[in-house]
Amino acid sequence: MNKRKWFLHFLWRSLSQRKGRVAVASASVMIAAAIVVSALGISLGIRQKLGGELRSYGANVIITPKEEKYLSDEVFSFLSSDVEVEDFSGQLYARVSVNGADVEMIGLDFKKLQGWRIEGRTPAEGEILIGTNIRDALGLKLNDAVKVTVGDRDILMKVSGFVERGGPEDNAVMLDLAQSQRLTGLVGKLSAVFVRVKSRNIGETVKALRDHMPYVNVKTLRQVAFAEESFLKKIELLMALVTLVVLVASGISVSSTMSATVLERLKEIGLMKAIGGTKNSIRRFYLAEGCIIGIIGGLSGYVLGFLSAQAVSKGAFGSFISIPFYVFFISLGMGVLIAVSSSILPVTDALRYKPSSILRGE
Amino acid sequence: MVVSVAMGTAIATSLITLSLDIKGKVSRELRAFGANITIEPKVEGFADIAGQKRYLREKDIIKAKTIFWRHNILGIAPFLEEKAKISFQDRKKDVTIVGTWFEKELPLPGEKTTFRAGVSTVSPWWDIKGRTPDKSSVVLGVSLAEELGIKQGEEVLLDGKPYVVSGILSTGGKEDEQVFLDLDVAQELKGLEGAVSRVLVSALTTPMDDFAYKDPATMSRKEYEKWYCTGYVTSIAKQLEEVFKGSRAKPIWHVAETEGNVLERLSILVYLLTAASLLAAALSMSTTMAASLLRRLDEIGLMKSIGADSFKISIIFLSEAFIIGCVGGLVGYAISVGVVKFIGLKVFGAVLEERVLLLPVALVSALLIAALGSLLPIRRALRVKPAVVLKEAR
Amino acid sequence: MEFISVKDVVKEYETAVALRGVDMDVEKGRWVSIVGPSGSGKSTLLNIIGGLDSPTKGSVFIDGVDLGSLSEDAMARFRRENIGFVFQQSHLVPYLTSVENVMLAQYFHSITDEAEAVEALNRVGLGHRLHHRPSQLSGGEQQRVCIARALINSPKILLADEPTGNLDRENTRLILELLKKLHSEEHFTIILVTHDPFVSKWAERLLTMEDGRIIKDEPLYC
Repeated sequence: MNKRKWFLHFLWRSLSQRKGRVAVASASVMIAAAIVVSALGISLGIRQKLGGELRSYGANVIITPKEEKYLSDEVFSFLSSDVEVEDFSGQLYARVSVNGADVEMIGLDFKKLQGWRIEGRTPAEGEILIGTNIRDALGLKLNDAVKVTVGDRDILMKVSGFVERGGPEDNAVMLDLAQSQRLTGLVGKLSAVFVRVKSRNIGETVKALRDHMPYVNVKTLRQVAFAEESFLKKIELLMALVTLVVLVASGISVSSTMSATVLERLKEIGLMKAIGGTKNSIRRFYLAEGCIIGIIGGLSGYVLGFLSAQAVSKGAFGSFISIPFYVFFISLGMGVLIAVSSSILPVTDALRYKPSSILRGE
Repeated sequence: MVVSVAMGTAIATSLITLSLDIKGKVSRELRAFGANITIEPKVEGFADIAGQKRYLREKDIIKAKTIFWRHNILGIAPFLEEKAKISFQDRKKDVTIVGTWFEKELPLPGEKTTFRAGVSTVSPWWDIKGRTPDKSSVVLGVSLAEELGIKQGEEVLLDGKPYVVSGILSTGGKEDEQVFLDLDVAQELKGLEGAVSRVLVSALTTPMDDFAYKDPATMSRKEYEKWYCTGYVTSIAKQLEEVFKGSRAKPIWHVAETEGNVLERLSILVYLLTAASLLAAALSMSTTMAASLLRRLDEIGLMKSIGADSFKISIIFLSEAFIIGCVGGLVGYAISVGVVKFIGLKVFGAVLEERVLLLPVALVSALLIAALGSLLPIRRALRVKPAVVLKEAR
Repeated sequence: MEFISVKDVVKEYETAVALRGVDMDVEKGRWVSIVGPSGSGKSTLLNIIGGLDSPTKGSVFIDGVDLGSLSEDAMARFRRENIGFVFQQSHLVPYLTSVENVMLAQYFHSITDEAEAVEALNRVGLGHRLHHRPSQLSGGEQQRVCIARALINSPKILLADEPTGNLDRENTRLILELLKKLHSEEHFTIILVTHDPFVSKWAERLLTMEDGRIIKDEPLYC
């Protein structure tokens, strides 16, 4: 048998005959790696998760017509091909009169609305949703028939419900976009398109949209865009710091555990020196052992951390989190780093002593 | 071993402190999204939407700081929206002019301090290039300024009166088309002294739950009291409505609701992280304890051989764990105070509330960590045969 | 110059002085015993001769090499070529079997050769205990593994520090007879530290130490 084979053989002996100690060391590396993986995974995924929650704040970019009075729905086809765009919906505004009162009519896509609490139901064909201020002004009740005048045409519509949003909707009547387009004779026309783009590079996306559609106005809604970005940054920072703290703390705690398991092998180190082992050959042995423990700990820690991150994400956000694959390497690297550094430092320390003092057990 | 207990306790205590305070701190951060309550004149009849306008009273604004939840009111700003004609050189346009406070210190009734009100407190995202308007100047929305070709420092006429353009405002919203004046100036221009058409309020609120969505009108007296005295956005709005004469106050739902969701998620997240870190700390203590017991197997063997029973040996090691737990808990607490302070300052720019109560929490969790972590390894270690250990230890 | 030459060696520890100027020469192939009460400095002297410890003052030459001039790694290499150790406590690697413990020394020396290691164990009478771990061996058997390990690389010197200290008379006699046999076959130099007159009298020369000095040097004929 050659030398390398024997090196591996001794290594295998050391690992397999000391199962308890190896298990302890790998377990502590595993726990540290697991904490770090889950904290890291969550802090990397939190933007996406919270971003999802924040979507109900609404669009962060708005597209309006520039020269003409309306946008055409060609805009849609462009938006749906842009990967930075998460969602969009068009609206059509028209002045109509309801029971003789001049009000704003909004045609919108009810499927895209989030968190609207409608008192009643979403308007179906021939139905209309009324803002609470209009309701109060006209004294309307659910299922009342109202006379809607568009231009010189009178139509009778049924009140499907009322809505209070604390915004301009309260002073308007709303119905399905397609229906409003037909009603006003503006098929395929829109007054505004509300776009939700990924919040990280809003500026670039807006610029790209402007370049591709010079014939429309593209504006960033500062309320959503900037508030959201600053909020997400804060939370990301929070999670990053928590992760850092966790990383440092668990690193320290693991190396103290690992050092303890290595120190008990002082005698062994002294002995190897006495029978002629050079510093390098002894160190190589412990280095390899630390690597193996680090790999075992890092791998299992990744699995454990991945699962616990998923559990936490499921609990907090109701959905699983996507953890970038490089976290796997971070976990592995961290495991090996901790295991190797905390086994090699005490060994180097031990190698400084004279074998005689170690062997006598001082 | 003390190190790993201390580190475990430090993580756990930091996260507990964080989770106790995070709702408050994060909801303050969420105020970056601006006002969550709007107060408007109550709509009572057909006339209200057919041209005739009602107004709120400017003098009612300060009353917002007298309601039960006054300390939760973080920002407030009045708006007076009117139509006017703007002319610049030979260009003319019908526009909406808005009188508001940009930043104003309001003296609090019965107190020596003042309260900062104005647009900057309810719409922090407003981006004004230039200065805020004074008695003789206005701020123009960016789209309007572009359309009419007006630059900062030039003079425009509003309903025939001259004003200097002191700044250009961009928000991305309808404000880009409007003209902004100081509230007093707008009131004077329109002859509407003391009148405002809308008030926006930014308030810290308790996230809405199922109970909060119940219609107050259908609540029992007791329920109503509970609802009224909880800082839901609806109950704060209700209280504001009571102090503004002839008003209707309502939540700006898209802001208010999201806020509740985000807060809920974040606090669950931190709770779960805390639980996970406590568990991890116990596990890590367990491995440390196991490591140390493995080293001391000969000691255990010796104790057994001189006649100690398992109970006595467990007591010895458990009391060691107890001491380790105490020391580790104290050290961990001290570390966590620093960590929490650091995070608070870095993230929220404010020190998170310190809670002395957490010291016992830290100690108890450290002891729990130490005890739980020791039990298993001790039980395992006790199974060894003295003869084997003593021989191997040579 | 003699094969082993110790010149005016002084060893001071922080709190005590172990050697107060020791001079000694040993010819090649001799068996020397060092006796003396505990604390007389005999173990310290042995460790310094083996390069496990370095003297505060003075020098040690082995086969013309000044140990003080060797770096730590060079010392390790010198040790594995020239010196074998047997200690009072057996100091075997607990997770390796007898044959693997012997092979560990081969491994550090050059290459491992299992047949050679088995042969070495056969010679110390442990052919039937090749694959037992130290905890499964008796004290005498452990000590015999140590001897096999110490001699596997054919050293010129065997340094033994109370090799029979933990053994009963019967086992002690077995070990000494084994050493005697190996010594007569392979002619390596033995320096053996003991406080047991029964052990010391197996040597050809007896040094007596007291309080850090050699006080008596006598030849023995058995």
